Amino acid sequence: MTHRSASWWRDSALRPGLVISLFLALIAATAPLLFPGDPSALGEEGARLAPPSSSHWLGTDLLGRDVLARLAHGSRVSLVIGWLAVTVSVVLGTGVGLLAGLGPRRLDRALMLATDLFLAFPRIFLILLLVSVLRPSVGLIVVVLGFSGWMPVARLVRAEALSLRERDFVAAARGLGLTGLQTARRHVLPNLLPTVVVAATMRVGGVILAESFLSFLGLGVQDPPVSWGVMIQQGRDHLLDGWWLAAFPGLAIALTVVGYNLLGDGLRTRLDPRRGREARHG
Amino acid sequence: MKYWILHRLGSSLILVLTLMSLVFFLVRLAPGDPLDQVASAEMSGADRELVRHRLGLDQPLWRQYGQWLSGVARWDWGKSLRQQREVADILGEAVPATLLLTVVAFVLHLALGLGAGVVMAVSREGFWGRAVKLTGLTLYSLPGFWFGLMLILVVSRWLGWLPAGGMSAPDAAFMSGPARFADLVRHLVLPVCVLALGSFMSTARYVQASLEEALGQDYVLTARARGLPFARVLWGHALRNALLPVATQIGLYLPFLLGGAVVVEVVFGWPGMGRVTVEAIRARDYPVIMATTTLAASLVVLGSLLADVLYQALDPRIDLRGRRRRSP
Amino acid sequence: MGEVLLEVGNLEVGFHRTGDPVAEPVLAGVDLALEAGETAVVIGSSGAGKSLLMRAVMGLLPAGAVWSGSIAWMGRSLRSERDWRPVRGGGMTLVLQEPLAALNPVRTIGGQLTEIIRRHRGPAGAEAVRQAIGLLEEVKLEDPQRILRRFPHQLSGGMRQRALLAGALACDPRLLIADEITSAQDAMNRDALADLLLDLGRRRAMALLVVTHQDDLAARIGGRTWRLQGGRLHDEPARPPRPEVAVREAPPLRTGAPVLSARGLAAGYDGGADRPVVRGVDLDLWRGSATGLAGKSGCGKSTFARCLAGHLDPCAGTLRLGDLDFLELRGREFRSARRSIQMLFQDPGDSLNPRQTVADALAEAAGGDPGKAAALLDEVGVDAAVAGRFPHAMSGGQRQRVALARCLGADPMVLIADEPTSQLDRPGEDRILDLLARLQETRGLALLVISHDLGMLRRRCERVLIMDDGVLLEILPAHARPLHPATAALLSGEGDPGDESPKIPYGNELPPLVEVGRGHFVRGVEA
Repeated sequence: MTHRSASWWRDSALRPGLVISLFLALIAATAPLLFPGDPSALGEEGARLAPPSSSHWLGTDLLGRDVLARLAHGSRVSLVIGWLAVTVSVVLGTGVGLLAGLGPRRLDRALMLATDLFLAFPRIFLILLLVSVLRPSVGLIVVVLGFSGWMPVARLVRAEALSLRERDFVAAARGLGLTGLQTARRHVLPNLLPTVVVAATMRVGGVILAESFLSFLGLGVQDPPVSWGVMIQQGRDHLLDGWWLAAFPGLAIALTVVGYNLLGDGLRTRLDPRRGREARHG
Repeated sequence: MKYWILHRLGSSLILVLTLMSLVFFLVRLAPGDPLDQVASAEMSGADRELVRHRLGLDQPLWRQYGQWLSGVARWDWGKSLRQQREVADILGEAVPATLLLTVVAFVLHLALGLGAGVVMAVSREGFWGRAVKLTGLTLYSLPGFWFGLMLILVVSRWLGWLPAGGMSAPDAAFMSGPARFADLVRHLVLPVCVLALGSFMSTARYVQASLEEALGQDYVLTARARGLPFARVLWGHALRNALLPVATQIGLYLPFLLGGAVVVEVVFGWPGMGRVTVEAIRARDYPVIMATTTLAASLVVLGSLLADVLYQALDPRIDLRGRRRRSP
Repeated sequence: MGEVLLEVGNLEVGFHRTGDPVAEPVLAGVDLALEAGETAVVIGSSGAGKSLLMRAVMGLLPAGAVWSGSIAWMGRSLRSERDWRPVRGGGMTLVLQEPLAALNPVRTIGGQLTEIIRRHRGPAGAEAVRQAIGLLEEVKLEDPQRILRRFPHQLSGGMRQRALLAGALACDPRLLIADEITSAQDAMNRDALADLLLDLGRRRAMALLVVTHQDDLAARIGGRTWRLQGGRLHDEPARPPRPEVAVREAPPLRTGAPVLSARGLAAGYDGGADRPVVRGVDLDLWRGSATGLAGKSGCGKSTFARCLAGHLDPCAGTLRLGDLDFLELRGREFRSARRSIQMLFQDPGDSLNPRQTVADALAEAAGGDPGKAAALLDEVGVDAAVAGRFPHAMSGGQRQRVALARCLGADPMVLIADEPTSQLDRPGEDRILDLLARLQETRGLALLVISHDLGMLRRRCERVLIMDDGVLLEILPAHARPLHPATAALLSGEGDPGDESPKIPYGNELPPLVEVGRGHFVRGVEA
């Protein structure tokens, strides 16, 4: 067992992924302690658009507010929206995928048609369409972002459920007189869990990118809750006299996305039972 | 084969029709009177009814739906609510601009993806494999709009090498042919780079996985056991098989690139479909939104149709009905 | 004595998992020497490491494998890719088991052959094509011109294997290593291929190293023989005699009401009612008796078994469980009735939920009673300590016993064992079969054992049903002499009578089963 846990740590994707995502989670959790006060409150008079210095590591913005403090507070918005939206995607996708994979064939066909239908929209177009129709608030943004991403999860879960239901242990469970629902809950769902966890982790990065782009367009989270995308938008007009305004939020987004992509990649190699079996046979 | 293509064509058509219906009803069933988007609040009741009648909004919903569908079939997408122009005219300018951007970016994307994929498969644990993977993954994770802004800052503003946005210089109309072409290329470089550099990793990973699988196959082992050099085995045997699934995926990259194009167009002020869509959403210009989203989704359906046909054409193991032959 | 071509000394091969320093040794101290022109055989059961040995010798170990020891070709030690490259092909080459996988699917046979000819013999173009034709003729393929233009998937299995062999010959190797090349072939092809190999070896003065799990093939090839066991090669003096079928006393014929009774059962998949996989099967199972069902793979045995256990709805026929009409039951009644018919699956690695502990699985089987787990484990002879384990932490034999215990948890009247021992080694097989026999006595189980091994079924069961192409051809009391040609083929070969077995077209009335002796029925013969 010690070998196994040690190799988790040596994995070239998993370790940096874990370090980055845990670091960001820590920042998000402790932001109010690290940078007390309202990140939107006006800063000192003389410190407007100040470049990075020892007093303001990442500089200040037009209103003299510390960029680092705003970044730290912004991480809360990005991570919370990212994870909530992914939860929406995964719950919806898993539900649809399970129904399609285990349900009657006609239902499967209908659900897969719906999946293909939504999959045909390039994701950003789907988001923009929904945003334009719904004019969402912060809560609805989460739903829109989540809804725009359930289709790949549904496909994945359906494929996995289809193959699981042919497995002997599922047949054995039915043979013991379990109902379809009991079999799904006790035998199919637990075996789907690694797939779903990996899919969720891999999706966080994409959602954070989409959210920041929406904010950048001014269609997402509006100013009072500080969002990284809004910060980049504000920095756009001051590229020459305040490059740090746009540069650092972008780096923060990139770091978050890299972290979650690495984490997802590492988890997939670890948890995917097929890869594990391959590794054994070499 | 002919039958199969017809069948596939038919189901794609049905998918596009369903798509259009979805877009139409999504927009029309949204809360609020669509008239509020054009008519000002001070307008009198009679004037409102007049505008409503002129836009055909007083007709029953199914009738409006039918008119929209039949209009689209004639490439008549209605009138923009905000710009006093036909939507078809707006599309006529935006679609070629977007296609130019995505096609050029796609070529670069494929070249980078292929190269990086091969390097990552061959030198999985080696220096080059890791270096390429790290670079690609970083680029893949950058927010495109931010990457574009940074390139503008460094390449255009600080270094002054390339224009910061748009599709042509203001005086392009007075240039000679070759100079105009050079001007277009100069404007293309940055948007294309953002689009291709930010996305090639998806293809690279696919190439890597496909090539790694091919390298583990018995026919590769056999070729090596017969003394063929590794490079020959790689190019002549493994890559040839590995590229098959990659080639068939080409059509499926379209949604990805179209989505990326939205981001790039907004940042670089490229007058394509993405920018038109974003502006239309800000202005609540529904006929335009319906047109661009429908068109984007239809392009994607076309792409996956293309993927299927390519798969048919490239793999000798596929029989004419489009099913993979079972090995006995 | 000729010169020594290949010499392997104290070869160890193990796996080095990424990030995990421990290598699990598969081969531990293999010694082997081969002279020019010599013919040798390595026998080993699947998983013994035969393929790994061959790949180590060729310097083509899979990623993650590490080796130590010495491998030498004609006196020169081979250590790195640079040492091996000139040896591969012209020195030694490898022919693999599965020709469809070993031939490049997107290139024609001709393209693949001429590439090797150009590399090893020099000529290209028309001369290469001429030589390729010569090679195809050498492996006794008819119409070589046509075959050159074919893609691998357009050839039959036997043709592919020969085309692959032709590719190996194109290198003009001094040593040909054949890794299980006959195991994907039927009995007739197998013998022909073996003869062809021997013939090629003689005419080309080429050394042969044949790797197989089939004792018959080893005997046919002859020459020096090793057995690969426990990671080492052992000299195999002579072929062990095939165990005689112990013919038992005629058991009393079963009378009275059967526990499970099928009449005219037919079943297929996906609405293939006009092309059923299984047709017109009658079967009676009695309390405390063991019945065998034999047939080659793909004959419909498993489909039939799934039908009996309620996993698949038959498209015709009736099935009675005691007094119940099993096919008419629905909902709760069906679920409680089906517990009486339990099925033991072939692959113990797949029949247990990987995310459920043994205790949970057994409690679930016993209808939620966790107290029964210990008794069930005891009944199948598994230490109660495994109750807390997950399937991956148990051996194959243990898993199969736990799967059996789970069946028993439902208190079944009928137990269907579908190839229950095919994934186990010989002693493991005997232990499971003994256990089944004991349960048949103690619990009065009606046992249906399904296998392709007719000899085993005749030793273990009172009577054996022979199935081919989804139809019962013979009902054979264990002591009786088989009469149907398909049965004879099943008994002699490894269970594949090839194309000689009679096929009964769909839609035709089946000829009746005729009683030729006491309890002995044969289809389609005169009494």
